[in-house]
Amino acid sequence: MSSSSHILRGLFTLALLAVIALAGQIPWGSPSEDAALRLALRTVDGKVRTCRDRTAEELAALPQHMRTPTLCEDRSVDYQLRVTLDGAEVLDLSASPGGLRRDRPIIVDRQVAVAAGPQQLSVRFIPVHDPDSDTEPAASEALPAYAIDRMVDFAPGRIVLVTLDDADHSLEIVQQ
Amino acid sequence: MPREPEPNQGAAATPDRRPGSLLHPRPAAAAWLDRRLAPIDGLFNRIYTSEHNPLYKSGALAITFLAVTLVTGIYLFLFYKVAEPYESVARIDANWFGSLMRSAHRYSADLAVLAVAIHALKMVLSGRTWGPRALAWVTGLILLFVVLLCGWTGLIMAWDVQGQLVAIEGARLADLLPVLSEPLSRSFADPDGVGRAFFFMNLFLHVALPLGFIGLFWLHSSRVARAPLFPPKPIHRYAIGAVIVLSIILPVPLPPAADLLAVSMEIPLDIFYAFWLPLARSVPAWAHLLAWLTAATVALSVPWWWRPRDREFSRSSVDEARCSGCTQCYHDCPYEAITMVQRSVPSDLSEIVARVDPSLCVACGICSGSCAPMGVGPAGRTGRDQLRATDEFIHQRNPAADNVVLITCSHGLGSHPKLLSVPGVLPFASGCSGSVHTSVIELLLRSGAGGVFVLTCPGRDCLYREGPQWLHERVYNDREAELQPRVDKRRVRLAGFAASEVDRATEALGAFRFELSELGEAAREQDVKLEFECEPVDVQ
Repeated sequence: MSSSSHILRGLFTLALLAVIALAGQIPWGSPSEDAALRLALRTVDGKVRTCRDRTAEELAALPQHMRTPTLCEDRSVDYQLRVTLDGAEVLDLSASPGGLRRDRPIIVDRQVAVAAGPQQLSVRFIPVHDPDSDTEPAASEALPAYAIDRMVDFAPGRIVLVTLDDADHSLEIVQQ
Repeated sequence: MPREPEPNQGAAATPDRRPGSLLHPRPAAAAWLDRRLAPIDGLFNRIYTSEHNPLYKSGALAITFLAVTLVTGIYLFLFYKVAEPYESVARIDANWFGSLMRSAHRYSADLAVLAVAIHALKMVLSGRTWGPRALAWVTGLILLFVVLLCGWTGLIMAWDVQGQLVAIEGARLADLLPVLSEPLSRSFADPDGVGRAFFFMNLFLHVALPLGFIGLFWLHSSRVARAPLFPPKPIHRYAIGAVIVLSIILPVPLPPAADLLAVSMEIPLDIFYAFWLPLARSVPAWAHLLAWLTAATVALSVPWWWRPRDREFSRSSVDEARCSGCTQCYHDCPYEAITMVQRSVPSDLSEIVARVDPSLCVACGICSGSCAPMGVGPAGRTGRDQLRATDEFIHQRNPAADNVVLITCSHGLGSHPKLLSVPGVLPFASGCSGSVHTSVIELLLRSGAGGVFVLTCPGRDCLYREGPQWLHERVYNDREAELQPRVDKRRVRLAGFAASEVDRATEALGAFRFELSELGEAAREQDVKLEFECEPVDVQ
């Protein structure tokens, strides 16, 4: 093979690899000028426990080692999430516990686009009594409810995050 | 003085279509696509020649590139920290050697996917995806998925803007599968949600997945004999050198760090691994998952729908009455479809006999060429069938001393009109050149042909892997079923050219013809009955 063929081969290889290299770094997407509000909430608080005493017949029907006198059942309730900005509603949804048996935490992960600039943010995350359930409305009302009202400056291209701190039983706003 | 041969015309220019010339069964669409893409193959052959065409070794090249990722990955692993993923990558990238390692790691990973894609495309176009090859196809796809998974975890490891999007969109897909108790994507909602445990698990997957690759690769190559791990050394070294040079000239820039509180951002999209991100960002997660499932179903089912409707493999069988138990076909079979077993009926010939497993045989016919007593091969293509076809050819075409019989592999260049423009050339089509029995060459020469030019596929692009290699060994190096010493080997020429190398092949054919003219006229025998001269080989 002649030296010119070697040079041609080398140049072709380099050109080919350069194309492949660029194909691995194609600029895609663009920074947004809009702002966004993200709600990332998780709670295991929404459980209502109802208990009753077992009857003597029920106890007799059970094996000796299973005769606990009280029968309790946990029912998870839905939470209502309402979000307003400067009084205008931007989100209103009902959040249910996860899992087929509704025994998993309530999780909300939503993001809404908002205009940039300072706005009054109001978030309400409150338990909702299910009229079809056999629990008392007071039991639902006794569950933790979360709320936050704050003036927030939404920066262009940035997300304002609202999270739920289960430990502190409070909503928290995260901004960077 | 030899008479001046006449140029081929009319019927003489039409290649023979004899039993030995059965084309490899593949869908008509594959042949059509193959022709459309032939210019690319031609370009690579012009630049690299068919001996060093990287497209012909794409599967083995993928292993070369993965080996580079493994070596460079070990170096990167030493300095990577799960507690500060982006910062540790930035520190690696800050010095020239670290940058070289990171760039080589990334480029070789990209090239591995590209090589796998080319390898798969070649299999599809040549119809090597069905029948006994279905296992290799399916395991190959799984291997590709493992490589992609490794790549995705690798992109996430760096925790830059691209890795962030890969993680988020991957999590959205995972959340659709009913296996996680809580949505994975929630981890990426909060900058504090992505912690050391996540990156440790990601690193574990990135390191552990290649281990699964080894087992899958064994399965992938389990139906081929002598599967090469790496491409031939020149290609292997050239590929590694090219990656290093590219990494020095064009180091991969480090994108900005992940920012979970940015609404959107520009990323340097790696189309080899993150090609799906634009779709993922523009459709709901379920539609994205549906696209993946559809693509996987279509690809995995290729062996069942991408196949000829009216063709089957004409698989080899063994004539035990002729098998001498020499084991040559067992050694030569490129697909390990032949085993040696005890005879069910005792024979003076041998205690063992060859047996073909039809589920492994792809009907390449290479065993026909390897059997001296001509007792094995696909129906209609055994050595005896080839001799019958040759006899018929001799009676029809009456090759003379100034004729060159051009035996062409049906899967390669074939009897291209340009080849037939060489004066005195008589085309004689065969199946894979590796299936051509040397007795065919002997019969043609002893019947008066001036020379025999066997035009094979390039040795590195044989449809059946080892055809040209075995033929060369039989003709020149006395491999069993060898060309007999009584044959003047100066009158035989083997040459491997790709379909796009017509000019080079024509030049070689012309040169051979010129060499023959220097040798003078060959002796001609009357009524050569070569078939009956074949004796069983000595088992010892």
